[in-house]
Amino acid sequence: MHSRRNFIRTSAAGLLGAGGLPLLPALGAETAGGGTPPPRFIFLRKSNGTFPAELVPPSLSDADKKKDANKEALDIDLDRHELPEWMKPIAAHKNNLTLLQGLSAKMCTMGHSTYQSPLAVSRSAERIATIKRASVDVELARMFSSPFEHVELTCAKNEKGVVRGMSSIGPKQPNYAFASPGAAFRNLFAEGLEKSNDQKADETLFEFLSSNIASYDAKTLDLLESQKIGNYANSVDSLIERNKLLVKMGKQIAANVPKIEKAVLEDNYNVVEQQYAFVDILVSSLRAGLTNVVTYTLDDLATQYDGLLADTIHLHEIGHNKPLKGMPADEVRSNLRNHHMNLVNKLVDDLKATPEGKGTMFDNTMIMYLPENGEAHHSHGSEVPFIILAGDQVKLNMARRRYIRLPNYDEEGHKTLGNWYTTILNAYGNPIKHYGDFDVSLKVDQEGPIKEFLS
Amino acid sequence: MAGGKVKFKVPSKADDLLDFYCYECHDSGTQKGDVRLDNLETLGLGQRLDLLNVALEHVFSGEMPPKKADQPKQEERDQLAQWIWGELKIYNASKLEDKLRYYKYANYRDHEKLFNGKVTEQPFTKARRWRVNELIYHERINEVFELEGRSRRESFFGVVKPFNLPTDPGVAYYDTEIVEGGQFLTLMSNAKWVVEKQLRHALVASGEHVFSEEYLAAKGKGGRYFNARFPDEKWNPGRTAEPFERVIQSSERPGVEMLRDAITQQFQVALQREPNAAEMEKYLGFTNKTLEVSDKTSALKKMMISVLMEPEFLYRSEFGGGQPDEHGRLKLTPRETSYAIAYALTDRVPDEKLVEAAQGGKLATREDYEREVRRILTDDLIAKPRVLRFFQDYFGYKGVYDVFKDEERFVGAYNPHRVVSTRYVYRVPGKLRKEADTLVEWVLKNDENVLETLLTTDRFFVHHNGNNEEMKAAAAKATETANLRRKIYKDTLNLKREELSAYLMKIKQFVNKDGKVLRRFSIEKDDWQLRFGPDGTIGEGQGWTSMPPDGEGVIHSVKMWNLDYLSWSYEAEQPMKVENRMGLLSHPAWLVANSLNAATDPIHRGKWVREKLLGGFIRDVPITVDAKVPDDPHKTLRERFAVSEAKSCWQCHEKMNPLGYVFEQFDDFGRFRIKEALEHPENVVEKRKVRAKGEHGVFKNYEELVYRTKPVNSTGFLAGTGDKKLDGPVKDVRDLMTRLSKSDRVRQVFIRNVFRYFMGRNETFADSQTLIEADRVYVKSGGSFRELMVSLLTSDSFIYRK
Repeated sequence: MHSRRNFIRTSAAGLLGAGGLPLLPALGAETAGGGTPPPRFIFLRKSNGTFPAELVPPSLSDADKKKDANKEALDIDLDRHELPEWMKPIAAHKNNLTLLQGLSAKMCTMGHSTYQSPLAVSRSAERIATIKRASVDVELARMFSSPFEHVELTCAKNEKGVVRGMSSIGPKQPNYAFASPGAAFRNLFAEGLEKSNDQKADETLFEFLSSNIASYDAKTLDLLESQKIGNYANSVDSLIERNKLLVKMGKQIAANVPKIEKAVLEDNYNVVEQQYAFVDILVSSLRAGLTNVVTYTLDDLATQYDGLLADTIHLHEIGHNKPLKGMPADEVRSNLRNHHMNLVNKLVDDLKATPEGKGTMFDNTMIMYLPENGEAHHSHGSEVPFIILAGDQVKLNMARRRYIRLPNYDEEGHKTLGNWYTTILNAYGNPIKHYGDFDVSLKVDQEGPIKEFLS
Repeated sequence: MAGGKVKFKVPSKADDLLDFYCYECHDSGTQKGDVRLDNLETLGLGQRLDLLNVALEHVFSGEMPPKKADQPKQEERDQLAQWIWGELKIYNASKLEDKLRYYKYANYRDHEKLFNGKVTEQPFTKARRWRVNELIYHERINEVFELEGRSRRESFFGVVKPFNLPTDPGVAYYDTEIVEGGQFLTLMSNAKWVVEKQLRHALVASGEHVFSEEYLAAKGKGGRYFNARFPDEKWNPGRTAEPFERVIQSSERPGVEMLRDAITQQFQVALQREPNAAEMEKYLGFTNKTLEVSDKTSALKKMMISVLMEPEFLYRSEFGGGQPDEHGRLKLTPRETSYAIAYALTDRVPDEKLVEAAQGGKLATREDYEREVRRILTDDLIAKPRVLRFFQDYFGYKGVYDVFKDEERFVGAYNPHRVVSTRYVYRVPGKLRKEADTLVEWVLKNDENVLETLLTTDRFFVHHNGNNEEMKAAAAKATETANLRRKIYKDTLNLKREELSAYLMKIKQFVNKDGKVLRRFSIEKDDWQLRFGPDGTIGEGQGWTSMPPDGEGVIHSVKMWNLDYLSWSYEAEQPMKVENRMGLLSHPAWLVANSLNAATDPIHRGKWVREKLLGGFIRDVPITVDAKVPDDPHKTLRERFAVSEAKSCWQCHEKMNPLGYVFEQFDDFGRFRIKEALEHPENVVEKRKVRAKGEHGVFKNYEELVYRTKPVNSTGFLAGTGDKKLDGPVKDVRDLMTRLSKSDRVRQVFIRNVFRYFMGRNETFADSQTLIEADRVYVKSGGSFRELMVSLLTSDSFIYRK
């Protein structure tokens, strides 16, 4: 029977995709233990842009440097080159490293804040109605099911708790993100911790909320109104289903609960402590099988960075080249990037230290470090430089240890962010013809994957 | 409907209209803008629907046919729009309805049609749930804790704002928002925190609240960092409500009566009502079920959390009740009315009198509405933050916080270094916002020709809180202090070291216990030298008044008013006349809010006037546009903007640039100017050493760069008032504001915005009668904003739901 209650839920889902929280995936054979390990994807977003020149190995020949500055295509073996100074923390992982330059993103919102844009390859703004589709990270997460599907962590704006995310789960639907390690820890690993009476009672609470929402159906008036209640109903339902799944995974979760300092769990931390705690949570959630895809916003322009330099860093001011107590903005930027690389290094080290199948968890992992707003603080989307660290089993034929500069904007062979994400999706079995919007002012063919990167 | 299987055909009437008004530019030969309409029947479904959506938007908003072409009659335009709409609805593919719900597209509705009196439909608002905003949500938490007066809190440590209001200028709080998945989790964790605090007192007493060892050790020692280490302990409610306390104290499983009392109590504090029988039954069942799997405290907590998660706590319900009238409309129920009126003017739940009226059957008629609205408006003891907030939202001057300014360029402390609160003044942006608020409050207090005054006043509040008595006293004290400092400075100018010590012995504040002059004296003396001049004569003389301190260390901010804080003799009696300014749009707060980091922003300034005063609209920047202003050290910004006058750009920029250029009379800090500094390294003509207040309000040295200049061209063009006498070339801001203030259309667009604010939605054509009446009342009352509010809050649009 198509009950009224079902109507609001399905109609909202029809409008919005799954609604609220991700709906409950079936526990895949991969996460249940045994079998082929699932691939993992980690997107690390950072603010203030990455200047393309910052990625250029200093030991390139003058001719190659000139080519790079002129945005001419390059494909250089990193074996014979040094990494820029700020990348030294990841030097030990050079075998897994690709520096990818030249992807344009003019179809995205650029500038200071880009919201869901760089992961959904379309323009988006603060208004959620502008969100056009599920972002690429969420699409990947849906291909390899897990209880939390996609996990998002954020240090943006120094917010706490659970906040609106910068990924999207469908049209007009932003994801949610854990903004404090404590909130992430309690939500993700609850099933691995000893349950108090209070936690046991949570089950009845969710069931009650679910049944209670049904009593509101009678006043459902039209699609917009049904969305208001339907979204709520979906959020409760998905929590209940997910909890059932998590109960089955209790032992696996308990074995992988991260060790986070008590003060941090109680929201007493500086940004650097927060960032490291999130790395631990990220790795542990992969190990526990809670998710296969994590998007982690390391900072945004409103993050007040404490714990790194002597003074709090205001990223927006740095973007405007304001010195920090006498330290030139460039130097601050370099410090920040170097710090980010330390975080990446820890992430890779931890994954490499995690046995899985015949190798390690890193073998199946792809880490992408990207600036949310492209090539500058005030960006136009002419380039989005990527630092990629990929394990040996990653299904992309972009040989590691490479510095790649794709052909310049509007030149034959030029590629966009949409081409890049299409490549990843295709490589892992999503046959989508092209992911994301097109850049209408680009005259060269821009549909489909970057074929050279496909195996 | 069988999807795309039905052969699509353009009906002959629609084809005639398209032929007459559209094909000339959009047929196979011309295809202007790459749009072709004469082949609709041959397109695939997807392409056709996309094209029809674009066409509908242009036809409905009146943007097409272009103004220079033959215009269809209103009936013809309606016919064409209805046909396209109908086609799109077959496939549920119309995008316009969704857009029309948002403020950004509100001006798509034809202004003439809204005000020409021809619409006969009776006004109503669609029955709805209106999600509470962050401010209402916060006040609801205050109600849960039953906090009153000074006990009410501005923030709660464990409550994360689940909803953030948009920051774009315009009406921010609409009924279109929904509780999203992520917000749901936030709401859950907020509810858990609130319940823990509600029960905290009783749980401490029962020993169930376990303190950490770290906390107990620190508490024993006390110390200044205690609160910083345990921020959540800074505030705890003084008591737990008795019905909850009884459950916690009971030695046995709580009985039905005890649970009933607890459920009723939580309903009362959270939803301001008792549960009905069905709800009580439901909650009793739930609590008993939870008792089976846990304990009484957990069961109590879950029940309390559930009430806080009731959609009624998160959404305002406006469905109406009783019998529908002859137009199928339902009146708001008395309870809904009490909330609608309370939230129209305040962020708090209905006060006692509103509740009394609702319960006593005295919120049924239009007169009842008017009585309550007037009562709240005239009661000075009831805070009505919503009234001022309309002007903050509409003018958007709060955006001053979002524009980062370089302190080296400003030569002095400028930016806030803390999170901007809704209630506090921070640094220059905060001070400017407060000065703009004070001006609005002054205009509202006089309540005459409110819009016109805001557009044309030459009086402003500068470094002033609006209270003349307070500021006079503060200025007198500051002057006395300054004169004493001047005297010390002048007396000690030529003293030798030993003479100085003897002198300062009389002024003990500068001498330490060993009789030595403190270093502080020499520092202050340096600043006094700056303040009073080398010989101590700056500002000296009868009647000179010193500026009172502002608590933010940014007294130099008055330079945004072209005043020199060193030499300005403070005017404590304000508002004061400020030269070269006219209206709120010449206020530095508005000018900075509509500026870029290091330049003015004629485009957005013009856009604001076009949309907020003239009721026009500007489409989003096409994605093909890489909107860059070319760098040229020899040209003014306006000259460099010539790129936007290219034919392809001018279609949109024509609506903005000629209005925005007028504000080039002011620089990006809001300072009046007749010459524009060409800020480029090659144009530096002088580097001045300047001492000014920096971070923490302490004087520091700055290097001020002086650039070559070019004369400012601030002429512009006004079009779109609908009045030929007002449209035409404009010579400056004064000219523009004077004309705009005389425009009926501008006034009506203002009324439309006030309507949107109080109804929480865009106006529809069915609201025509409400708008016409509100406009009539505003004019008749001599421009009273209060009467305008009364008119709207007693209108059918406010009262009826359908």
